[in-house]
Amino acid sequence: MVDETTQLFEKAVRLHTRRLLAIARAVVGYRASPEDVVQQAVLNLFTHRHRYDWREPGGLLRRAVVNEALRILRQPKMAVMDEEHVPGGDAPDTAMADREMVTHVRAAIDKLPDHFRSALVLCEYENLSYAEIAKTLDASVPQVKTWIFRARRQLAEMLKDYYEGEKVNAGRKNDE
Amino acid sequence: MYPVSDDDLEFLESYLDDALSDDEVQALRSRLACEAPLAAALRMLREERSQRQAFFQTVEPTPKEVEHLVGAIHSTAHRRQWWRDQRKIAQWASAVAACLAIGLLAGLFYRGLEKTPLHSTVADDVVVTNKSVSTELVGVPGTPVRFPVEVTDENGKVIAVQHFDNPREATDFANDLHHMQNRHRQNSNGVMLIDNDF
Repeated sequence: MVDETTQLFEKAVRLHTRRLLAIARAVVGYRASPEDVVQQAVLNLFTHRHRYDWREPGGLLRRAVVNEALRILRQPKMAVMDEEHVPGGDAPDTAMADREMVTHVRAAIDKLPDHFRSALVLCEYENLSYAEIAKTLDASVPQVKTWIFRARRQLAEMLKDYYEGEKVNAGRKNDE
Repeated sequence: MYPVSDDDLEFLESYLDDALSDDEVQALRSRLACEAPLAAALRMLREERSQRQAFFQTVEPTPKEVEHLVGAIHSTAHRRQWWRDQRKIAQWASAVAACLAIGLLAGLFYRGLEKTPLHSTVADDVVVTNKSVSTELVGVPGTPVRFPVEVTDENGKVIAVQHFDNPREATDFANDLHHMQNRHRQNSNGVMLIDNDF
């Protein structure tokens, strides 16, 4: 006999797993298994499921996954996954140039500090407000704004050479 | 790199994040209309953002991956729940068994306490003399002959009678008991004569 809370939990998992897995992938990158992150976070919630309100579980699940991802990234020894095995890394409909650009962006995002990356993912992938991001990451709104701003500046700096190279290539193509 | 200050850059990013109030948006749009560097910076930020969006699209899982993960989560959750239920049942059973065991031990303990003083009292007070061994025959015709030994307390009151099949067993019993009584008294007085044992 499955109680109502368990039913709500199962429904929430079915509804939100796709977004949670994408968030985990964006946050942990190659440094851990995103599936493990999501599974562990969700099962932690399941253990104490009667404590939570499952009618609006999106924020709760998102917060659990981000915190679990950050917890795993804080662990000192982390097995680095092979880039080729990262799911979604080789979408068949992506053009060669776009794939190269995505690879550069991914590598740059992966180099960001964990909190910067998490805030950026929640902002630009989940389209959360600064207040929601602050709640998810247990930080203040000004802190979140700073993290996101610095993340974008660092990314721009890391990708500067790539952008300039692309512009040069585009100029050459135009000359030809 | 950007043709504007950091403050303006942050302002533009807040605009792209949809985090500005209506008044701030109006003010920014007015500035964008007349400040070319600000408009150029906005275009650059939009381009960078679109590249990040391209990356975010690649992290989107396929339906099959999602289905697999949901299945794994549900099966693990059910398994954990099953084990938790089993553990709860085992805990209840253990608690009941422990209660029964404690009750049983407590019963045995108190029952033992009630019997112990009776034994010790008799042992302390019993006096057996050789005179108490009777060689008179006891019994009725047609039944085996029995030799009684009377066990008396310090006041000479008979507190028990032990019957034996022959006078030798009766005498040995009386002597053994007498010997044990002496040893008990010696122990009580702090005197221990090991020679008596040999």
